Amino acid sequence: MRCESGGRGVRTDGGRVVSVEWFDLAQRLYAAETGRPVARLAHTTFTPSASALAVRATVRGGSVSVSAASFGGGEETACDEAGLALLARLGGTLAADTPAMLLTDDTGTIPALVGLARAHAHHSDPNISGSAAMVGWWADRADHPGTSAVVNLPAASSARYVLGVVPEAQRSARVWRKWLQITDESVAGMHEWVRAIGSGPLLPLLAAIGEDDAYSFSRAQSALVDGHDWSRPDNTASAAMGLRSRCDAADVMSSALLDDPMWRERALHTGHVAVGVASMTPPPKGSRRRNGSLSVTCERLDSRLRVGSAVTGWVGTPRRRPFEQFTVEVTSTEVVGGKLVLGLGSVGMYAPPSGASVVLMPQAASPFAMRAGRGRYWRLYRGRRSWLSTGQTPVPSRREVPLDVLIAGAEE
Amino acid sequence: MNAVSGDLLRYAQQVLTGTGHAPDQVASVVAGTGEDAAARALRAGWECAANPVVGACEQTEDVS
Repeated sequence: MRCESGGRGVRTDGGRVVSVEWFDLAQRLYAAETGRPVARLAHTTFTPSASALAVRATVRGGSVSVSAASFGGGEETACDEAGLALLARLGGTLAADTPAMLLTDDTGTIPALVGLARAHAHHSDPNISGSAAMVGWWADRADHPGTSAVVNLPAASSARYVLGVVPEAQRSARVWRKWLQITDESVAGMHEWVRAIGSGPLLPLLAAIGEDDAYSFSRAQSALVDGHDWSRPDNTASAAMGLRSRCDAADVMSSALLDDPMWRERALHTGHVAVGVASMTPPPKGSRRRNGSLSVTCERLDSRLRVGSAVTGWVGTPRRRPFEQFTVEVTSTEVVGGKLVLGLGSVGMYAPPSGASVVLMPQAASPFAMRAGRGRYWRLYRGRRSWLSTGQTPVPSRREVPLDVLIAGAEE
Repeated sequence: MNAVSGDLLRYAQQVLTGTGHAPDQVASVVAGTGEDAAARALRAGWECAANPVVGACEQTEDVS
């Protein structure tokens, strides 16, 4: 199965094609015909920064060559520990007041920098050790979708635009430079590239990831001052928290994309957004309920909305989301007469009238609830009796179950 | 479709296999009224490409 980002793939045996592939293909062909990139998003996925540092690093024969350019500056190159000193001088250090954004245009730079940074993590020169720790922080944040700490330019460009080429070709920095008409192939040219793809408002939910970037940077600074060795492997609790943090960021990113009107139009073809006709059923006579029950009949059967999932809906089209939205939970799904009927339970404010065309999508993720959840898990992981932190698998134990719990279980 | 490369044409051929549409017919498919799933998805992608949202002011738009 070959997949594009966000898509569900095309079977290589020539079998069933999911319609998002046709949607994307039309955009590629349109881009080819016009000779211009086609926008997939009206928003940007990162916050451009004047303190950004463009870096390209390569490993050659046991030596690491680092080329870097700050905003408005030319390309400079140095090897090994001098390369780390170069990054520090251009602002790529944990000693800086604010984190420098790392710009890369390949997938090899971060692994090359991490190898170099680990080799000099305990260097006596605080500029070099501070820069090495910064590389460790960049590598950590690079794993968080939606971060503005590290921007891989081909990946960020592919999130924002479609080119008139095959999907694999969009991984090539050279292809992007050609389409964006960026003639400067040096490291300094990455700043021009960022300007070409970074216009427009940030996807609203990604502001929370930016806050996490800032918080994480201050934590890394404190850890360095306290003498914590960033190059050591994580303990079990930190590894578990790191995994949870990355998963939360991925969930926020998925949700953030649905804030974009153009992405919602595409998401109709992945099943993440559903469109259908509303049907309101008034509450039964004599019932204490005041609100009617809503069901939505969809032509498409490929909705990803499942029973129990919370959804946001409105009257209109995916592209135009009004202020008047309702939130409700999916209570049932069934196929009736070849159409998907989503039962949505009781809707109060902004309930759609019967016959109205309704848009449904998953309720937005709450970065604040996720952050609170991480805090709670961190306390549990760090607890002295936690089996995660002690490394001892818990032993199953039996205990008395209250009678009312037994009865409730039986009624279920 | 003069600007379409051979690689993209081959890719398009693969994606359109079984739909009854050929890569060089996509422009006419999106301009037509075909209601099969592929035609509708191609039309939606093409129209979205041709009519991008500029800015992001739609969030506060009122439908009433």
